[in-house]
Amino acid sequence: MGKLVVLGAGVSGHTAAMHAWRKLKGKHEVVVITPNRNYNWIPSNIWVGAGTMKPEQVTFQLPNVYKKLGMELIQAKATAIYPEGKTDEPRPFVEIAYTDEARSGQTGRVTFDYLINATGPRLEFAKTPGLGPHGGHTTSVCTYGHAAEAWEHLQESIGRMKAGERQKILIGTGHGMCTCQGAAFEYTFNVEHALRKAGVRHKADIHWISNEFALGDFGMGGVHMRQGGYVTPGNIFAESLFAERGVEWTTQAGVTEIQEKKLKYETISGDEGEMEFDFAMLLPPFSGVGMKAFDKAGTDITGEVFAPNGFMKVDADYSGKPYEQWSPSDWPETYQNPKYSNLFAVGIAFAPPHSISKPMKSPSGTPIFPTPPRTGMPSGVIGRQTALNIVDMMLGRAEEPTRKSSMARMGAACIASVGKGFFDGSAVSMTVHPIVPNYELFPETGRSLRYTTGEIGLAGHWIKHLLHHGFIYKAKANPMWYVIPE
Amino acid sequence: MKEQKDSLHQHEFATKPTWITRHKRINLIWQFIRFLILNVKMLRMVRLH
Repeated sequence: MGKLVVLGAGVSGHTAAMHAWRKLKGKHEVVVITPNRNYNWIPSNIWVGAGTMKPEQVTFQLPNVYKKLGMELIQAKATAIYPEGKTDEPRPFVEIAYTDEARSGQTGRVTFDYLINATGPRLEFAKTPGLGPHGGHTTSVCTYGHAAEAWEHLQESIGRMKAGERQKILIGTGHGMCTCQGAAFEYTFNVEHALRKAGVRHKADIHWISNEFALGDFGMGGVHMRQGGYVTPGNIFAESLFAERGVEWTTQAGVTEIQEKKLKYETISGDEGEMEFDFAMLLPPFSGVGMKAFDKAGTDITGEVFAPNGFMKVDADYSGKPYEQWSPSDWPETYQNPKYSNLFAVGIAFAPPHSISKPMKSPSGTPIFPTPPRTGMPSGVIGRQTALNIVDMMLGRAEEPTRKSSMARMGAACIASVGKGFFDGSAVSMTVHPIVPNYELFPETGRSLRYTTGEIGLAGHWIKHLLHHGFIYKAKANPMWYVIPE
Repeated sequence: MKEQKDSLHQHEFATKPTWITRHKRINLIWQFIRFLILNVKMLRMVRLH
């Protein structure tokens, strides 16, 4: 009996594990290792941070689901991979540190035939002094706990506004190399919506700060859409929403330091500025979780398995070629590690070959541009396709991965909430094809103008709400879960 | 009397939705139609994988 080990039970890892389990049950073993007991539907954290959902509405306990499926779940953190095994263990294995109460502090080994690394990111708040909720001066919505804390702080600000005080609200990215601008964008407008509902919008100055070159970049280098007889860049739509809702913006900015109620930033043009705030939600940059890798002799091969940013190397082009030479073929198709064919990385855990947005630096050399997003729909799709590739190899149907899911050929649908409410809610509904601009297929804008669309309205909110419940239903492995697409 | 607007404010350079666009965004009948169309668009993305 073969053994597939999945590290991480987030959107990508949990999806991969469930699809693999469905095809392999009774024939091979699927084991999931995750440090967290709770599953978190992260796209809805912005609603927790705006007070329109409770943390228990975006989470559920994973052990119940895995018990129901008969799949082994180990609550632990993977610390090192031994893809060749070790002198005292002939099979490949991962070294783990247990995180459950009963075995906290203990370590162990889990052997594998195939490994999917879906550990997600490490939140690098420490990269900007004063950033983040752990001893810093800003809040975050990256986890449900952070989002709940953000809502507590926002409530304090709302209380002050109700008492007649004016409040400065600052939302965006807290470093020059952040990703997930979409989440910050959603949070901005959900906060704006919450303030309107609380009757205090007139007492708030809301400001967006980000490392994007222009609004609407979202780490994808922006989009173009057909609108009113023109091929229109996405920043026109983004600016329109910001102006309509009275949110001011500063782009091309890398936050360098945060003090109590004040931050400093540098721009691509070299200007330095300061901004005051009463409430701030700034996203941190991401890195890999810091796993090590060793060969059979115990020699550290971390640099061969992982990129310098800690994400796992896969079948991408890491030659570091200049922007002008970027090509769709730089992007991975099978997510297989080039050195060890039984290692795969999916979701945020795989190392992208380069950014999607054009890399920019300030005159002092500070990089200020978004790193590529690998969350949401592509994360789930890549998890599923990788799992099915491994299933084929474990069942002897294929020698190598046959399904290809390059982000330079894959489309994505994204619903960005800009306010929650069945009658007064709204969302930006976008479809993008492909995610990474492919000028070989679409010379004009890098994307299909037929399949790249966007609109704002209440219908988007209905879909976002349905997706929230649909995806949590699916993640709980309820009947017919597999018919719900990623 | 209405206050003079700062014509150089960044909001003044942005396109803004007309009344009819804003109305369509919350009109239940129109939004129900868009709901159906958006679902089709998203399923098209799923099919493209």
